[in-house]
Amino acid sequence: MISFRGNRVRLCDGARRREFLRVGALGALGVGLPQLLAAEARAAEAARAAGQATGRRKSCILFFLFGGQSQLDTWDMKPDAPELIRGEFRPIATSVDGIRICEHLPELARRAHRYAIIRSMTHHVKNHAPAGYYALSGMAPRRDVNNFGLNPDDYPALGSVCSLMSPSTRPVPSYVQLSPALVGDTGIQMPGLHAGLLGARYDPLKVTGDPNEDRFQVAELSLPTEVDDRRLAARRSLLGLVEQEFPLLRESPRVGRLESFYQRAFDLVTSPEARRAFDLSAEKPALRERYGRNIYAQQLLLARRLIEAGVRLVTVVWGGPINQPDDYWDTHQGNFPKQKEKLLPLFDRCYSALLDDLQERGLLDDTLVVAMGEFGRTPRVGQITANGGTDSTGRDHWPYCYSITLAGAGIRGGQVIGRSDETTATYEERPVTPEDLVATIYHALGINHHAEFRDQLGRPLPLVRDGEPVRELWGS
Amino acid sequence: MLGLLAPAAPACAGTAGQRPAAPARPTAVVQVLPAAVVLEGARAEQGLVVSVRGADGALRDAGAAAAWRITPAGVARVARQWGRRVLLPVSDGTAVLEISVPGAAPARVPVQVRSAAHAPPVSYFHEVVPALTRAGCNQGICHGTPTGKGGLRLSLQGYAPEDDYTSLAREGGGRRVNTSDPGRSLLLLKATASMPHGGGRRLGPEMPELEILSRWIAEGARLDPPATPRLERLELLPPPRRLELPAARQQVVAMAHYSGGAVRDVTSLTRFSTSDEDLASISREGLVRGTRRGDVAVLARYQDTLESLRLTLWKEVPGFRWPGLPEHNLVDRHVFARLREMRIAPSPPAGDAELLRRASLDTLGLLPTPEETRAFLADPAPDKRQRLAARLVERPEFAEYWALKWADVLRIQDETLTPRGARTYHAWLREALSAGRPFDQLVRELLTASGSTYQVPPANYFRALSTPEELSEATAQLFMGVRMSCARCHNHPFERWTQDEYYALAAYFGQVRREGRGRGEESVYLDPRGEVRHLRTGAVMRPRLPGAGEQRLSPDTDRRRILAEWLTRPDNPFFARAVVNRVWAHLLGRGIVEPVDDFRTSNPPSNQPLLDALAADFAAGGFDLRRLVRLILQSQTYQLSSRPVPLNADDEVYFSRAYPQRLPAEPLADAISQVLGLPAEYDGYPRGTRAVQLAGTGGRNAFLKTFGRPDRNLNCECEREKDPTLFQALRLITDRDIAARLRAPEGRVARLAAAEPAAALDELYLAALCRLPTPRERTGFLAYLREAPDRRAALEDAAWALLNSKEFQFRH
Repeated sequence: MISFRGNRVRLCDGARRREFLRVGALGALGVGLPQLLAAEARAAEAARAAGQATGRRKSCILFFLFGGQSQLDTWDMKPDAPELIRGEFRPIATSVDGIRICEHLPELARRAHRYAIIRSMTHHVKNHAPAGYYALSGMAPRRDVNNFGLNPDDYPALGSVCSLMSPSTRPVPSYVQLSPALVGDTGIQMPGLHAGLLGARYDPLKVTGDPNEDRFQVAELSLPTEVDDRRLAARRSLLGLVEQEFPLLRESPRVGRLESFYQRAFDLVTSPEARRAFDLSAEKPALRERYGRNIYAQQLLLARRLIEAGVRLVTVVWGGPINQPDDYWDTHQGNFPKQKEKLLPLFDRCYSALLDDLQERGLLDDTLVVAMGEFGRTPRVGQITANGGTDSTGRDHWPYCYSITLAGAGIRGGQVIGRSDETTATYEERPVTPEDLVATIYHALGINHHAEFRDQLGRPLPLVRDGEPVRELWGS
Repeated sequence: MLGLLAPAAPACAGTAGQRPAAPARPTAVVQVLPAAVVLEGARAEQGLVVSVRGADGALRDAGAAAAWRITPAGVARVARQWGRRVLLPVSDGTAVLEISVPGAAPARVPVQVRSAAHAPPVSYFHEVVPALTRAGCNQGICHGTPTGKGGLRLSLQGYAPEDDYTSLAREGGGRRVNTSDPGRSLLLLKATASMPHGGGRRLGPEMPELEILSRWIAEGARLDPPATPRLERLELLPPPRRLELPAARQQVVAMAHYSGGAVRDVTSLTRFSTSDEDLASISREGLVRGTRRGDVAVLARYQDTLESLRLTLWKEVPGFRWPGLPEHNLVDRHVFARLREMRIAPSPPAGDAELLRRASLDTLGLLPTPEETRAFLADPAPDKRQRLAARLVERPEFAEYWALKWADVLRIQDETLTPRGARTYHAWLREALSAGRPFDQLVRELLTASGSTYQVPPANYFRALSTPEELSEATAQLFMGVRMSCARCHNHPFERWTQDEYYALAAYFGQVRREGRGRGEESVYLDPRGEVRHLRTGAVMRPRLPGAGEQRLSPDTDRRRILAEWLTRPDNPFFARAVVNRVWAHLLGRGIVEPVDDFRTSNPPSNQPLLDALAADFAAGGFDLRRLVRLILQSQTYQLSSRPVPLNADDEVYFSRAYPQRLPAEPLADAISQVLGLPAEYDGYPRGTRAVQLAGTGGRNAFLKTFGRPDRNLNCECEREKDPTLFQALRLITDRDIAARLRAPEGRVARLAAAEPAAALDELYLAALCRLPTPRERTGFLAYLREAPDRRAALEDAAWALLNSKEFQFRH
């Protein structure tokens, strides 16, 4: 939502684009609630005008493969490299001539024309938390240590920026995070997902339940068991009696704001639309099967439902145990069996299902999908870069060159951007930094990546420090 | 840094020998600034601020309607240049410029032209760097970032011009400035978008910046010779004034004063902005256009100087009448004077119940009990409000609530201080407030503490903040109301604080050291050899107090003591103002300066005399917090209704009514507990502990977090979220803990379920809203309660409705 503290976004040509400061000004006018809401909508529009380019409103599903997916075992295979580098897997042909990916991603191979691969992602941060922060916020971390923590001066998450610059107009939150309760087996505090500098109001609605469970529900969005719909209705009508006697509800914009949130909150708790958004049982069992019956696949399906319901950005964090504590991408040991038996088949299935599902529902053109980790993995099996626990069957962290995929939002599928060297030790062509990637995502969402926002202290800061969108993604 | 420049003496109509105008002559007279024009060198120019002083004595900008006539011809000429009308030199000599405006007596300005034949070379410092700033090249989102853009890195708004010279003239393989073929300089090609440029077209032939840069390159792109005069100050014309809406136009002229006495119009090299674009905007050429009533500062940046000019946008309100409200004390004197001036009427006084609830919540963080409410409403004494204020500040909960406020910004949290350290520190703070320790003394104890963080509680100040930089930033923000953090890396972009001043202040904390003593205990001590180095120059910084000279202190002096004593002197320009502003903001919902810790000339207070008077009274009264709170509570201003009236509906800065505030997290949680008659549980604290009493962040609690309890990682009140959010609404609607306490057999609802419904309802209303239900509410609620099959469940629903009402969640 737009801040009462006024201007949070600015562009290079600054002053003229300050329209949306006017919500603050509204306070001064003492207008009533309907005007306030209308003005908020106008202010949001102006905020978008300040930050956004043109085109239809886009949404985003960010599929975050915590731990770091191995580029050599997925998108950027090197069959001619020595065995210790190329590993155990073989490439297969895809639906696009000249693009070959891992044999354990057959469904994705059939859909290679739908997504673009960037094989030249690069940075220098070797630990999960700071690298994740970098990848997700576009801000280079000051320290490369794992106990990075969440800091109030962290750069805002992509979704928090969306909440500021492109808030949802429907009765749903703008930014939702779906993740396991603990990210990683050590429960690392994952920066880059929270609002940081923008302040708590731009934090995501964090859903840590497992939507694969039948009893899945979002506590904040569901009523205590003893309160059924009828009782809630009775409570609301009693509440209405009290509100009727409180003239400030109409006379004070600040009071009116909380009231407007109440309306949205009641909508969220009661409206079939919002309830349905979180209700996976409304999906056909076959489709749920198609995604796969595990937490991440079902979160991905839930993400699609949320986008459909109007959420702007959903982050799905594949970052914790499925059945075992190490069922995520941080393959320091048993790199090949772990990927072959679990990670890759599950990933192949749910990611391809998502692409199909979005396509079939006509959502793909307006939805950006990004699947990425915070870094890749070492070219050489057994090589140690960050974690001494890496053994001769594992791959350690490798930020210098790795691969990600993007689809939707008008991105031309079936292309490969950038090139790595013969072992993926480094890029040879078209390096893409986390700054560039974040600029790319803003660009795809119609948010001007040159915009400037203000932190809680009022300091002007650039959305992206030094990055440019990878425009070839949309090129022909 | 707080003072404004003295105005130049204006040139007025007529001359000394003339008689006053005859009655038939116009009473309005033209006033021109500057009063005399000196054009030095062929490249000089001079714009004017032309005003008319009307019969009412007020000055109004008349630049657009003014005619300029210069005699004799041949000395200077009137021309339009860079978008404004200026006087340009022709040949050496003197002349008179007559400025006339229809209906007003004209003014005559003496003009002197010198060295008209000599065009001095372009000055890198005085012209090129300001041109880069004005064109926006070196702003934070363009090349003025630490990483630069597209390979070109400039210092933010030119604070390090020598470094910028290297970037422009030495780096980039000599392509950025091409002195043999200036037109092929990348600097020009990019800025004019003749070549692709991420920042688009920044310059064109209509802008003076392009000419400055082109000329400078053509002249060899040289640094200034060593003897070049320095900029001493920037003067803005006219002096502060009031602009009348709807016209509300004002030309501003920026005059640079250099060492050696030269003065030059640098308006076309100055970057202008206003502190609030909603109130007034300013063009590149310095023309202000006001749109809304209020106070605004015009900011002018030239070289590394930022100057500001305060303007009040004002309009006459037809039919404005001042209601006869009695003034209680100095607060009302100043608030009402400002309201009268701005043609804003105060709301009528609040009702007794409303005031009792407001004052209890503001001072104690607690709702009045039904018994207190009944007693107050029944009290017939005319001075009961004044006695209420006196009573509230003496309650023990007063110290607990104000300790919470200060604990936030002192960053009392378990993670950095350990739970034991946090509790020790918090207890010290609470006891100091409870004992009524004078605030200056409390701050001196804080700033000079040494020893164990477990044995000497205020020593935790130096644990919560670990470096000299953090300590000086926090100290400035907390007790001076100044946000200095920008100046850590570069000169403050919105204020005059320089990077040098930043490190000179940090030097007072340069000797502070800490060492572990095991079990989480640490000891704070001083290392006489400790020094602070300037980030950019690496120089060891001598301590220097703001606005004073360097101090040479012997190594065994505790520098912190020098700083603390200076800071807490009764005549310190920062301390008392900063503290009273925080207290005022807490009680009135908005600071006189807002944000409360962001005092800047570019962020004008909404009522300077009020701020000054409160600060003086606070200092004179021995920095007594209770006395200050009582003074404000007893003012008519504090006791006004929160309901707007037509003549104040658009005011949110002059305190014409009470501004409603959402209850902060802890008082809200405690108020809910009060209504439910059952406490909430906080991890690690005994049952019955109120949220307001929690020491560190040990009581980390999802409810409190949702309603804005800060993690205490910043020294800023802004860390506490004050605005409503969607998640707050969701939480109160669905909260399981509230649901359980609504149903609990030992709670208030269960107890009242046995009573007659009308009595039960009255009691719930008194507990939650400090009032009885209106007839309409009573009818509606009683119908529901009487028809319900389950009386107790129905009463739970009633209590739920009250807790979810905005009237409950706001202090109003």
